[in-house]
Amino acid sequence: MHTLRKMRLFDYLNYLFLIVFSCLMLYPLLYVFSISVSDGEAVWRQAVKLFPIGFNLEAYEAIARANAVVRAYRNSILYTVLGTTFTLIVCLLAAYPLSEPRFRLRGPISLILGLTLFFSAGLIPTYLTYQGYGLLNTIWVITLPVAFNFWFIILVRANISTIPRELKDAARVDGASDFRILLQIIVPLSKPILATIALFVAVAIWNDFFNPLLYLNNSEKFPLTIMLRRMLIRGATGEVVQGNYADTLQAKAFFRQVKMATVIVTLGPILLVYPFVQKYFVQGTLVGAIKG
Amino acid sequence: MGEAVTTGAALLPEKPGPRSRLHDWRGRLEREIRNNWQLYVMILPVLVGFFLFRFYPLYGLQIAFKDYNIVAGVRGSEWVGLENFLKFFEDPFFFRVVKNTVVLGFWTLVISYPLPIVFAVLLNEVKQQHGLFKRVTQSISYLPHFVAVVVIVGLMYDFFSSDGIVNQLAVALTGEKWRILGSSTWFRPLYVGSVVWQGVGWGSIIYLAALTGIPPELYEAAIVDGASRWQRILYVTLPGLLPVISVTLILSVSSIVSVGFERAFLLQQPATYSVSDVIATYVYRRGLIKFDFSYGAAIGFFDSIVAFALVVAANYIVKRTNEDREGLW
Repeated sequence: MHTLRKMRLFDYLNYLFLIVFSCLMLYPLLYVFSISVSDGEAVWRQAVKLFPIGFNLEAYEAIARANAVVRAYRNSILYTVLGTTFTLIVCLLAAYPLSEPRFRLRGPISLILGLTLFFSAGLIPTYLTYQGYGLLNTIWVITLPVAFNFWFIILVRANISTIPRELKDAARVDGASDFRILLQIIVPLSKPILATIALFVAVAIWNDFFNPLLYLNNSEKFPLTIMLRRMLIRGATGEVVQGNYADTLQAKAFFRQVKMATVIVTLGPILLVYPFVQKYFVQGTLVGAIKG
Repeated sequence: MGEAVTTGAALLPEKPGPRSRLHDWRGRLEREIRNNWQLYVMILPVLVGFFLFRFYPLYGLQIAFKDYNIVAGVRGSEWVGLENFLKFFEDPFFFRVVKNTVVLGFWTLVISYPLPIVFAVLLNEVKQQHGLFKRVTQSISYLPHFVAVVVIVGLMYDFFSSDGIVNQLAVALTGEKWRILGSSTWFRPLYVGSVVWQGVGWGSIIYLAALTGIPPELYEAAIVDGASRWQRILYVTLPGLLPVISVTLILSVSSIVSVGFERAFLLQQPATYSVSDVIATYVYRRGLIKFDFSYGAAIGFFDSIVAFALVVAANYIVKRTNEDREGLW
């Protein structure tokens, strides 16, 4: 094993490369944070390149006062929580019957629902159908369709089939109903896979721009992603942040800080929990890859 | 036709009569539902949801073959056969959007597909005694995957703007500013670059997992045989990755024609349409913004057929080229 432990030129270059790589991944995020908390004057002079210069939270205060951003934040939280809850409920309601051998329609139903993994109607037909249901501009169009994902059902079903039969049989002998078995045996024993799915769905909804763009046109209902587009891409930060700002370079620099602060509060929830839940994400991808 | 056959078969004397068979079937169904009614209650809302949100929209796909008008609705609109598809092939923008989609998809595939493999192999070369360094690098590399596309593109608008950080660097180095945003030359590099930044680390997960499956004895034996590091990578690491590589390759080939909507849509500006307008964004603009629903549906349908055909073709090619004749199916 001696040769495997010794560092050679290749190793130094490799390590150097990996460090540079990590810096490239982190730099944009650090830069955004630094701009958002630096002194207005330093930002205006374009002095901030890496670490914050000075410290001020005015940009964050401006966000907290901006009704549109606060509302969008609330909407994003609502959509994420609701959509994730629906997804978990659907997963459990589907995966338990589909893993029960005595359920005769198990095979045909799995086959039919499995088709949805390969075929989708596409943008326009889906849009017209949801419009026909009267779902446009409702929170349901963002939170309900996302819950019917056969992929997640497969993951939960695979997990349920690893639960020893005897547990369910014993419960049934004791007179437990299917609902009771689902709630008191399946759910507690499926927690890890449910947590993994919840994380995936939550991030997907939190970051989703496509569905809100298509289905929502009432600004009261906009989530953060739509707000971010208005501010960062459409340059409408001035309208979003209420207040009297002259058309000066200082004001422009301040708007930049507000944009970056909005990015930080958007990434915040993900960055905060990321170190703790990362392993679930990795497991989730791998389970998916192996099962697929 | 099917009905006639059944009736005929039922009339044959040696088979049980239709009545008793029906009765038997009914009885079994009743017993099944009585015993398992709770399972049916559970699955019912799931079936309703899948029907409403996944299957019923497929029925609406027929508007691709109709001249949809809002008053008549999906059902009542007039059939026009393949007219919408022919219209697309004759569309002056047909060539442009198809070319843009394929070129963008091609470069994304060629550049962003191999990089996770390279990254995984390099991480695999990190010494065992430096496990922490490896884990931290991994964690950092996954991070961009969780950043919303709209945030990434939004930040690009800031970083690459005329007085953004990139141009500050450009001025420091070359003394002049580059026009990057809204420039047709820069659109593709920006697009592919953002895909790479976001996806390299995350894409490597599956390869890193495959690498842990390679027995360490193989490396030790290779060292005993005097294999250099390159030889070890070439003859031990890469063959160990090959099964995974063939699967991921099949799955990513269809991405050539299905360039994601969000990134292209957010990054494009009318000034760059000549390179940035792809099928997905064109469908959105024509179908939903200009209310040409049937036309948009037809283009979308055409796109998904091509994507499906590409997956089948890639699977066929992979099957023919590898020794075990194994593809995805």
